[in-house]
Amino acid sequence: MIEVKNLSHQYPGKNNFAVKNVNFEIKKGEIFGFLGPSGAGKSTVQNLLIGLLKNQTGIIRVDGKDISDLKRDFFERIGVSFELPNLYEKLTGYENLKFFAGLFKKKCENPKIILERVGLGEATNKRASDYSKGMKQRLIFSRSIINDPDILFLDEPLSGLDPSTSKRIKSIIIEKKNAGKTIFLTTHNMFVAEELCDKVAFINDGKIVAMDTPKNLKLKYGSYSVKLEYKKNNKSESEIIFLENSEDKEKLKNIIDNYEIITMHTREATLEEIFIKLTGRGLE
Amino acid sequence: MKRFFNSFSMDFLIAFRNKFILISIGLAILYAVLVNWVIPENISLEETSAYFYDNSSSKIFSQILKNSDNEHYFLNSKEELYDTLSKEKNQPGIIFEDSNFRIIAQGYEDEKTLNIIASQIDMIYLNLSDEYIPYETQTILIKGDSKNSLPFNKKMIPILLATDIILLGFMFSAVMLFQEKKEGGIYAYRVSSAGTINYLLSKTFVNSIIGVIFAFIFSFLTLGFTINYFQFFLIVFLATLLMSVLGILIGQFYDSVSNFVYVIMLAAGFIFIPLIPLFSGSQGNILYKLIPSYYILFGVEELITNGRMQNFLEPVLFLFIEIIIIFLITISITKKILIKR
Repeated sequence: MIEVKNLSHQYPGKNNFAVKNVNFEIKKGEIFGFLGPSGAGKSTVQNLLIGLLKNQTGIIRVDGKDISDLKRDFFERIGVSFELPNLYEKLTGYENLKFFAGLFKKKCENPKIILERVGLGEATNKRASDYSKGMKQRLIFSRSIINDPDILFLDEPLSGLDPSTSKRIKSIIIEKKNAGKTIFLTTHNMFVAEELCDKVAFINDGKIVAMDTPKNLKLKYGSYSVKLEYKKNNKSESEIIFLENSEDKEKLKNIIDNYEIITMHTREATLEEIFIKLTGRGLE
Repeated sequence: MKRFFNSFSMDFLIAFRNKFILISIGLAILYAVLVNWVIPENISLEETSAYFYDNSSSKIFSQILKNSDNEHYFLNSKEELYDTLSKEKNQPGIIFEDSNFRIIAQGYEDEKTLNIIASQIDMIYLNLSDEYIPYETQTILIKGDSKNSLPFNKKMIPILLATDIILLGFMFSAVMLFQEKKEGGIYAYRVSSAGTINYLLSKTFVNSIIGVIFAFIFSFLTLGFTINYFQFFLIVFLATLLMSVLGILIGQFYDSVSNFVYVIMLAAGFIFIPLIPLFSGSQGNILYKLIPSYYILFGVEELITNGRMQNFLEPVLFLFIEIIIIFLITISITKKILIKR
């Protein structure tokens, strides 16, 4: 279990806190989604959790032990997938995994089997420099699971992947969760978070603004909306109207009265819409 | 050890694919060709004059030479002659006896120079008598040091070794670091449990082995089996190791070779400093010995001249202590800068 209490972090020479008073808990076998736009503080929190940044204030405990007391063996238990490519470009996909596996004391997974599973079986002996962006992303993900870690830190693991490859990776993530692994998933893709996460936290300007299961967040903050497509000056326009909002209700009435409606659907609010509602900004 | 060999294999493979090994082998062969076939064995850069001692009963030779147009340096005793020669290494000495003469060469003179001197003195004896006068050429060794007897091309071996092995070790380790920074491999490494020491040992050992490969090819093609290779490889390995650690230590403050080029130029200048005592014929003081190229220059020269080093323990200990100190500093800096940043 990961326990974070009153975590704050300030980079040297900066006036503002990159992360301010962050609190959360991740249970064993849970996928915890950490959602927010670029620069919100997601990577800072992840780097504090994996010990790459020194903890300044607050408490981080892993299985009840303070992170500052955890020695190098902690890295035997974790796997980290980075958003930016960080591979040895002169080495093949297989060599990247084989040499990384050799850095651990414990017995690691077979690199060839993992490469097959993520769809890189045919590119095993191709140099990483010749991989596409999506292939590199899959290789980085493969590297994060090579040591069969108890805790996985995944930073945008599906970024740049096509739908069928995304599906493969998602199934591996779910398989890991079912095997009792704890997963800290950082993303700005709300659909991914909604599909995979047991619990999500919205982070904005270094602070957590909401945290719960995706379903509870929708119940708490979401409201039904209507998606309208209509003709205005011979042009097709679309609009999302939130029914609980009086201004939006007026807007709906105005459109129905004055324009030709092409389609009209009621829909449940997405996590992204809730994020916008809570922070006033989008996720991109 | 398993982790070290794993990292070592990976770094060696990357160095191989970066053509570091190919470059080293190519340079070693090129230098061997230069030493064997391009650089001459003897090179005479200045006019040679001589010191004289006339030990003949009539002192006739000093009279004859003093009456000639050229300037000659006559000394009063054999002791004075030897003493002068030990200070003036660039000139031979000549002792005239009643019935023969001796040329005292110091070992650096080429055969041609000695033959010219001998034929000129022959002429003097012939003018005095019609008999053929035998002469004796004696080579004396100043301070028991026989390095001057090395041919000029062989003298270049330690210089080429010292400057290239050391500079390549320094550059290659820094370049490996820049490549990892650029590709981001260092980010992956730091979330493994392998640690800083493993990281540094692997990279520096790879560069030291490349240095030994270079040294082996170059020395074998030029010196064959005439030297003690155990001593030779150990000195080369330790000196390259020291420079590789320095390359990583300093390279951490830079991001690319283009920014690092000034440091390489400074390092090259630094490496050349021990050439001053080498060319001036002295051993140099302790400050020279702190420079990693010192023991390659002097150690390898001694190996080439005598086949082995008499005082082998001193360079090994000196380099070893330097490596330990620089390595400890590098571990601390690497943890702070490279691993944590």
